[in-house]
Amino acid sequence: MSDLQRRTRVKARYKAPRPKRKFVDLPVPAKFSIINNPEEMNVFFQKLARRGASNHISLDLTGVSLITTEAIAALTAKLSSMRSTTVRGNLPVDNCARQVLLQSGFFEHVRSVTPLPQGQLGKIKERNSKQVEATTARELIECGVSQAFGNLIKSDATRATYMALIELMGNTHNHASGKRLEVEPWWATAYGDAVRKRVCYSFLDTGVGIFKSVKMSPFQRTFRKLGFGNNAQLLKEILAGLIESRTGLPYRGKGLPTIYQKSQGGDLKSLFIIANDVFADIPNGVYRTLETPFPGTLFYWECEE
Amino acid sequence: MAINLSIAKDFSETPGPRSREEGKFSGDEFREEVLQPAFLKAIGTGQLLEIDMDGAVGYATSFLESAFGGLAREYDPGKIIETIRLTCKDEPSLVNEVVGYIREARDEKVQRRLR
Repeated sequence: MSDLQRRTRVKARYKAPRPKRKFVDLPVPAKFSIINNPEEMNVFFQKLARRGASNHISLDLTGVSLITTEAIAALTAKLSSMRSTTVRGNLPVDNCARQVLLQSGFFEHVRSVTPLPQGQLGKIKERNSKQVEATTARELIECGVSQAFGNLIKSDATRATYMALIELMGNTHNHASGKRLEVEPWWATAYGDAVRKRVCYSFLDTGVGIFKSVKMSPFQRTFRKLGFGNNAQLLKEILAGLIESRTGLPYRGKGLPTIYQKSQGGDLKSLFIIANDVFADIPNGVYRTLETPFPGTLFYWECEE
Repeated sequence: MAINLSIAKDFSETPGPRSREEGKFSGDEFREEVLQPAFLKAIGTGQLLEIDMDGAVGYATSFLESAFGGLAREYDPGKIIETIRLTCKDEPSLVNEVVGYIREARDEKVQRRLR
């Protein structure tokens, strides 16, 4: 091999260094809550994904006045898919929002730009997995219940929550991944609110969501293609048990209707479902279409003693 | 005389999902390893099978359907209703729910025969 050939080979192997990632500022919505502010939050998640693809992110949380736990679960899920991106953040000026953030374990995923005060951190129990984990469901319930009520109790609400968690974990196998053998991870949190005497649960998956995985008849499909009906209507039908499960087996697909029934019966309070382009406030019968879709499915509910 | 079976004591306090591939303590696992052998023993000896559902953290719909609906898809649902006695003080409505799954499996069998 001549000198010239060797030099050309070396040159061919040389790669230009990747441009160094810079931190870019990303303001966080003042209401950092998907159940209270879904449109703005979905836009925020889109911006986070877009800017985080080539930059590190600096979250500006100073103006945040409301933070809810399901939004933290959703952010945590999003950040886990952006491993090469460093995300840092500051603390809100508002004291309530600051406390929720400090207790949430948020700064286990986001680097704090200021030293964090000492105190009870990680009060919000967070778990993620790709399996249906019955013992994890129990652990989340026991943690939330003991924080909110001071002792471990079993009630219709805890049994309904256990049912809901197992069904939702199972759905990440059945529908979230679109194919039977592919399994999407899920995130679940429990937060025991001792002041309001409630436990707040959130469950999130980032799979294809409910709507792409249900089985519709040719008539239903044609009806929808003609512009009649939308996902909000479809969610109502799924919850009412009117839509067949993707498996086509008549005895499958009972999980979501049972969760709906437990909400109607009052065991699961304040049930919200945000799935792709649908926002549903179940107890108030509000089902509406979102302009900016949510990438996956989020369930939020609360339980009283 | 009756054969007694407690789901919480003889299987798990945390009954899980429908199938084994989804996670531990599934309805399939319960049916194949605990319920079915107890049911066959009860039939073989002419005894009732008394199943106590109390003591568990809760039950997913898919667990109960897989366990009891699954049993009714394999064996005569009429014989299952005759043989099994369910009790659940924690959540009494679960008894009717389970009976409903057995009946649905029976109706599905009838419909399949008519097709």
